[in-house]
Amino acid sequence: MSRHRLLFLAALVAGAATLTTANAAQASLQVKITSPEPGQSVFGPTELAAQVDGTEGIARVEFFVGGRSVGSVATPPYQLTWNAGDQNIAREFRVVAYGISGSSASDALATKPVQIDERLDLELQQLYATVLRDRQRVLNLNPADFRVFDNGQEQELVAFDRGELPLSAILLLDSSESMQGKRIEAALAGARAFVAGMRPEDQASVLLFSDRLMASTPVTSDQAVLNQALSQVEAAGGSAVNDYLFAALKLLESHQGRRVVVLLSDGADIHSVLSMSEVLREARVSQALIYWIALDDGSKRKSFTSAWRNWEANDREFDRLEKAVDESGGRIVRISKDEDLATAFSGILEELREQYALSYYSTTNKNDGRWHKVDVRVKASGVRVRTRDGYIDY
Amino acid sequence: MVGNLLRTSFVLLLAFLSFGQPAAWAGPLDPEALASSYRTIVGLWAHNDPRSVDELVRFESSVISDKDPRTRERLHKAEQTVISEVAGVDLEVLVPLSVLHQEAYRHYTAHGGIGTAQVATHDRTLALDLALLYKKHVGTPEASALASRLIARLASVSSDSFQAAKLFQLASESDSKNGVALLGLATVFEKSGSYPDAVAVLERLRALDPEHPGKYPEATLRLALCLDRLDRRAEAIKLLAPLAEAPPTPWIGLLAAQELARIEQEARHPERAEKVLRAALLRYPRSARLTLQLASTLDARGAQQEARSVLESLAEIGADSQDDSRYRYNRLSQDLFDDADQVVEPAANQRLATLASSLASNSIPAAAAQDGVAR
Repeated sequence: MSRHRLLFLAALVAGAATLTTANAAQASLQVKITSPEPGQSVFGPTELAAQVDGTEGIARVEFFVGGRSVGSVATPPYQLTWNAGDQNIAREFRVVAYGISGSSASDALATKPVQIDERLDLELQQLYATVLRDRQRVLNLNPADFRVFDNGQEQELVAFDRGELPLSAILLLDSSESMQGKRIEAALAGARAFVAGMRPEDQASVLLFSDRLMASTPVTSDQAVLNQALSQVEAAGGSAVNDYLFAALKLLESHQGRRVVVLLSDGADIHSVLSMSEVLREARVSQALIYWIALDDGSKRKSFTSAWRNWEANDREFDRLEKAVDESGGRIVRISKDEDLATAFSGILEELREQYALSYYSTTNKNDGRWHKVDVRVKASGVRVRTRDGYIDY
Repeated sequence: MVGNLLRTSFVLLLAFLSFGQPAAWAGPLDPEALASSYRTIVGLWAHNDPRSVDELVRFESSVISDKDPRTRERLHKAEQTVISEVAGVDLEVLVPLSVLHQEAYRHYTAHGGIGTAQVATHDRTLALDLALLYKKHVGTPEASALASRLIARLASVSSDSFQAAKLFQLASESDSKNGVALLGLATVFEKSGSYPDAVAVLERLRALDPEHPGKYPEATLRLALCLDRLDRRAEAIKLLAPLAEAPPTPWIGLLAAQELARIEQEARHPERAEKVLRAALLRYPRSARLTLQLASTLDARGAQQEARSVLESLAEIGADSQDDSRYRYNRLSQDLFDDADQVVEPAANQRLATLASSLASNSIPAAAAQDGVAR
């Protein structure tokens, strides 16, 4: 199911805001704008028309928009077509009728921009939920077993699925010097295992990075293209996790459906120009699942300092990376042995296949750019649900 | 007579500098045999033999054990005997000898390994002591300047930031005009997160030549970034803008633009950040970093479609981008290594003949020395 963004704009046209200044002083000559109408929203080719009454002969009728003349007409009907363009702005229209004796009369009105006083933004929200009991995935749940809350309000599920939804994945592999030797070979083999497990309707891209981009492919379902990029790379240079995680999330935005980033790295960003707070913001916008295969020698992360960040700042970056993963509904897969990498990749793919997809139209959307907290509850005992924490309402 | 006195004073001085009182000898190896082996290696070095550093590493590693601190004392005593002999003839030999031990130290820091802590410390200490002795006993401004560069070179290969800071400090004290030593010291402070200390040192460096405060553009860049980290944003921008607009070198220009844009973005001036990035991309169109940063800036101001378009050009920039300026910034300045190449190594090479003749005057023919190693 694709991610639908259905935007209905209901323009509320307020009452006429006519600035009519029909020139009553010139009793022998009267003019009135008949098109456009007061308060109308004006875009593109627009007919400008005026009705002129009086006993005096008419020399010409000139039309002005925003104080600038846009044309004049000497004979009836007094109308012309003018291109308003596509700017959604208020405009002032004025018409001046000139009599042959030198007298004149004028009329004016204002049009309004489309008023988005009431915007109904029906965005289908899709949540991908993994349900666990005793670390085992629970696979026999029905729609009635789920309750979804959006900013505290229970939502009605409009679609329910499990596992079979196609996915668009970016395999983001750290190829910095710390990956040299067997480790990079194991990483490439693991990623190839992921590719081998893809279904024809799935798509993926490979991004190999260090402190620079080492290799990349487009998002494709062509496994040969992906495997070619995963066949060989020489691990070298420093690591820029933030920069390339941001790029991966951003590139996925234009792809519909279930979007996933699988990051393989020890997480030690040294050389990025972007901070993890920028990545976190992008992760919230993109709504992609982030899985981080963390290469370390245990559960403890390593604090370090560099010319770019001190100890505290680097610890903060780690915290935010963990937060981004957690909020996304993905998870951290800690690996201490290179030989476990293939299993890690395959395990993530398996988990994606077994996720529940819950869809609803939020009743709480306001398009105000605020964070919506999402809560998924399951009517079953002893289970834990992992899904994304929320989304930005934009 | 004078030579003997000088030699004796050196034995005492070396012992004092490194160990205080000479330690009691306790070990199976004959001191004279150790001195003889060391003498042989020095002979190789004096003749620019490429085996010399490897031989020194092999020899010292076989003597010193991390499990027994007395082994280091034993080796030190043997080596100082030989150093006293040759320095007693000509003090200039201290320069190539310091470099020889620096090279051994560099080997240990590059290769690491279990059981090399004592021997690495030994070589670092000895290289430093020899540089300080040279400065003290030659006593000329030129000697101080050369000693300063010897120490800075040693600091630049130190794997320990505390030791590196200490050495750079000593180097700058030996020659207060050694700008690269100050740059090295500031970099160590910056890397350890001591930004106020880094700023103080960098300002000292820029004050060395008040007429040309931009003589060390890397120092200006580092100063700007450290000031920003201390929330002195306006000063940082003032330093970065000229570097971004008229880059003294490509890597500094690239970084100055990135950081200037970052600061503007953080200060909620996205339009300024975008302007800086677009101007920089005209200069560095293949910079993946600038491309990423521009995409992020556009994204932050809501131009998401444009941000995606910008990012899609990353694939065209591709894998051959040499965008390593941020990697380079995280290392000690190349100026330090250039300075070493241009000053220390020629100085050491020029003195090898003196070292050879000093050995010869102590009746240790070079040919015999080489034979000794060959055996």
